[in-house]
Amino acid sequence: MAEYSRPILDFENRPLPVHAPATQEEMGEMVRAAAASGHAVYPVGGGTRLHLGLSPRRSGVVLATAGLNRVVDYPARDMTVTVELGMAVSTLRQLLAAEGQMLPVDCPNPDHATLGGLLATNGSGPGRQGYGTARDYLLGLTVIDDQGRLTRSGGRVVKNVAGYDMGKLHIGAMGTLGPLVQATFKLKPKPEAVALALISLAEEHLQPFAETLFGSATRPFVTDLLSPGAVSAFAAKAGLGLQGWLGVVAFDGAPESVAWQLATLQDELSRVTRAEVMVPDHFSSAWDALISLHGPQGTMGLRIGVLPGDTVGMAQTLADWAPKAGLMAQLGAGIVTAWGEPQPIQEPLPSLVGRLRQLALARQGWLVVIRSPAGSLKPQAMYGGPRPDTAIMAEIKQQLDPANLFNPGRFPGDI
Amino acid sequence: MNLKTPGDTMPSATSEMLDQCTSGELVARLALIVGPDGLISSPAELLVYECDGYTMEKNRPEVVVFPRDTAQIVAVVKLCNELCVPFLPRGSGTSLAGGCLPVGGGVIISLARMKRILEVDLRNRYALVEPGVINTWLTNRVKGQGWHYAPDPSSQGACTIGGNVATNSGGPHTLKYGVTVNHILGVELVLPDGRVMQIGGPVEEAPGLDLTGLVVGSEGTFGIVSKVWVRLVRNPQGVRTLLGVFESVDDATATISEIIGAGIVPAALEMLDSLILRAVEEAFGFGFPLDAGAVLIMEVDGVEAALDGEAARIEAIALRNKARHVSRANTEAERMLLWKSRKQAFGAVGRLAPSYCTQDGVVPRTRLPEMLRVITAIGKKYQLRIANVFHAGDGNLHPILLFDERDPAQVGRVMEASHEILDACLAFGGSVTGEHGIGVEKISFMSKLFSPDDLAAMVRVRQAFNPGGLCSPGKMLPTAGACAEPSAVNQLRPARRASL
Repeated sequence: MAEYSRPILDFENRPLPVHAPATQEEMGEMVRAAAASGHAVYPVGGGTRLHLGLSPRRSGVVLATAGLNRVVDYPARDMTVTVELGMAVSTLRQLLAAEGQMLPVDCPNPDHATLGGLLATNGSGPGRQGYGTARDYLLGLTVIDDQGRLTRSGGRVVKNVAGYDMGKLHIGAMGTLGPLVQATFKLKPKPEAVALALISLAEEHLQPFAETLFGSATRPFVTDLLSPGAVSAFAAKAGLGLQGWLGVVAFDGAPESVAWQLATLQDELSRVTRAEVMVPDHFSSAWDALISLHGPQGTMGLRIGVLPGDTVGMAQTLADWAPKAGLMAQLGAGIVTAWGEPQPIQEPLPSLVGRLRQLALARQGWLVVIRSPAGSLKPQAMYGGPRPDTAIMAEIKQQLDPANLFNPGRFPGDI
Repeated sequence: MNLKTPGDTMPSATSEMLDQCTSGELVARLALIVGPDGLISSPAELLVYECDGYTMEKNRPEVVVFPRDTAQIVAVVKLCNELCVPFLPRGSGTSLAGGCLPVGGGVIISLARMKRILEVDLRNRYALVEPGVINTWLTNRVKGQGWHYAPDPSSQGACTIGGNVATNSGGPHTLKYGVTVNHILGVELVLPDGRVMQIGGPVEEAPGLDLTGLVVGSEGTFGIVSKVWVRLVRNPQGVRTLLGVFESVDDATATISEIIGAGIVPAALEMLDSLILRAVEEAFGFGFPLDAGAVLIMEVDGVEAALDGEAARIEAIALRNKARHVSRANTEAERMLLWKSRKQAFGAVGRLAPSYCTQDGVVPRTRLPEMLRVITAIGKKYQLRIANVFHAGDGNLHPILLFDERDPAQVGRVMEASHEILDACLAFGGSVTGEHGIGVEKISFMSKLFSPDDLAAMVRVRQAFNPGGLCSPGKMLPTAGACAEPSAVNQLRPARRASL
């Protein structure tokens, strides 16, 4: 069984018992047994993102997926792979790399994080602008239903519209609609060449930098902005000497394409800033450092979604309020991640989160607290109030899990 | 008579559903909502709405309404609930699977008058459109500014964005850019009980469940989509379009496998066989060699700097796999004609036979050569000509079975041959539909694709949206919910060939 990076879930300060089935069928039986005895079921993969979501609402059992780690089918020439979801992300990565292929959904701590956890939490990393997220790669999914039965949707081919796309429903559902046990993914060929471009930016150049990238002739798959607080973490991990605001841009493709894009970007940016585009010699260490910023950091973490054009403004507002905070703005996706240490003396946390959420809502966006000191916030404050579609989400939960067997209390809005 | 209430078995024919009196009331009250020019109910006018692009089964709706806004859809839906009349949405009626077939009769809600592009926001890479907007209008609207809407079904000159959402439509360029679901950011949905709900929106990854991803491809069974936020995509800097001419289908499919295996992601990879080539050549005069076994349209796009290299690699692979020759579209006009030939191939098929039935099977792409041999054998067995034009890079086949629907014996053979082809796709580990949807046509295959437990989970999800089963009954799932039993349409009732 995998080692967990922190204690597994507990209920009323008592750790929940952990079962680790060896097969999908065995997990089904455990779900049936739990249901029969009135216990809740808390599916857990590598335990790397347990900080997401709320605390368990009632007693139950943790079902660890670590034993479900088989490759079911890997027809490499078809560029699909079917695997069990207790498999570590890095295990799949190595398997695919041997065939020159990849599942381009990045994930911090890939040796521990499982594919099931990646799907359940809808994890993504810096590459989402160019490659999309898990929803763009999941072709078929097997989950265990509230009767302990294996239920399947989708298929194993790259194009398929037969039946409802139940996989979409389970991505990001935090296991509240049943444990995820097997999936088929669509794959991509590994690009021939990749390069990361780092650009030091003065604060007045942040918006012009974003607009230059928006209008650029190049097609980067990453366009991020890191605050000084984030840069110090990034630079330390990447072994680079950097400070201040940093633009991060990445290109992939044929070597001549990557080279042309780097040169073009430098040219385009010269109209905005005199800063040189710096290309680190070791792509992978800088890349891993960038991915690690998507993992848990600090005691307080926020994730905010706004329109792409509002991303820089949102990040700058946050930086004005919390100059020391780590901020990562994904300019193409409109997602800002923020982390740091709360300073409750200045302003109570619920009020601060409330004010920030109003800013996001005013931009048609959203704000989720992904990490906070225990007991500092009520569930409502972590996810915000009900949205227009919350009612139908609750109805789906009611239909698929009427006894509230799976992860009770972990997800807001009675899901 | 008493109107059926949810929970009863729904009869097949409209005449049993509503008696004259209730029908009169329905039409009169609908007219109050959409105005007298906002509906049609005379049998002659309703003929067009008996079916869509799938003409093997037909059923007449009671009435077709043409709402102009969300409020009118809501009022229509609420009235249908009050009178317990089934209803379903319809875009342009280009479905090839009977997606717009009014199985239980009732009210067709045509979105044809809701065709405004409400907002285009390039800086934030989205457009907000009404469901009746024709697919190409959107791309035409942003063309000069260097953007486009990526999903490009072959019927894109006629089909609507709302219809694309319902079926999760594909198209040639989905090989690189993804299908409709990859490009929908959110929808406004009128639920089957008349509530209006925004799901998703222009900002990515709203907290909660990904209902947008679930609604796309639900074939109208979750409600009526009344607005759509679509993602717009920057145009590629450059494009190279190659035409490979092959002596045999086998050589062409071997080329496809090798291109994909070499790690090249073409923008599109389309195959046309000799029969379809003949029809297309007659229609468009592109200059296809009529003695070829197959041609491949191979397109790469992206940053200019890499394109000639990629095109050269593709050309070398094709030649290594015995291509007779490979040529490049030298001008944009030549490229457009090539794509027109491909996308309007279905229309050109009318030159080969009075009727045709298009299938939509998918196999893992390495199984394409075997699958095409199976299709040839099935054609021989049932004495049918079968033409093939399809998305080869995705393994998504479109065998077109040619026949004359005035001959019931031929119709029977087409049905049997179609089913045998789809069974073969399943045997190869594939699917019975890559982009056209289940509709009514393939509903009997759902129990072959999925176990009763799998289907039960899908029924539960439908219950969340559509508990009364009044919205799009008899679609997608073999058990059609509370109100209706599966496919109640008269089977094999040959009639006129609907125009496509």
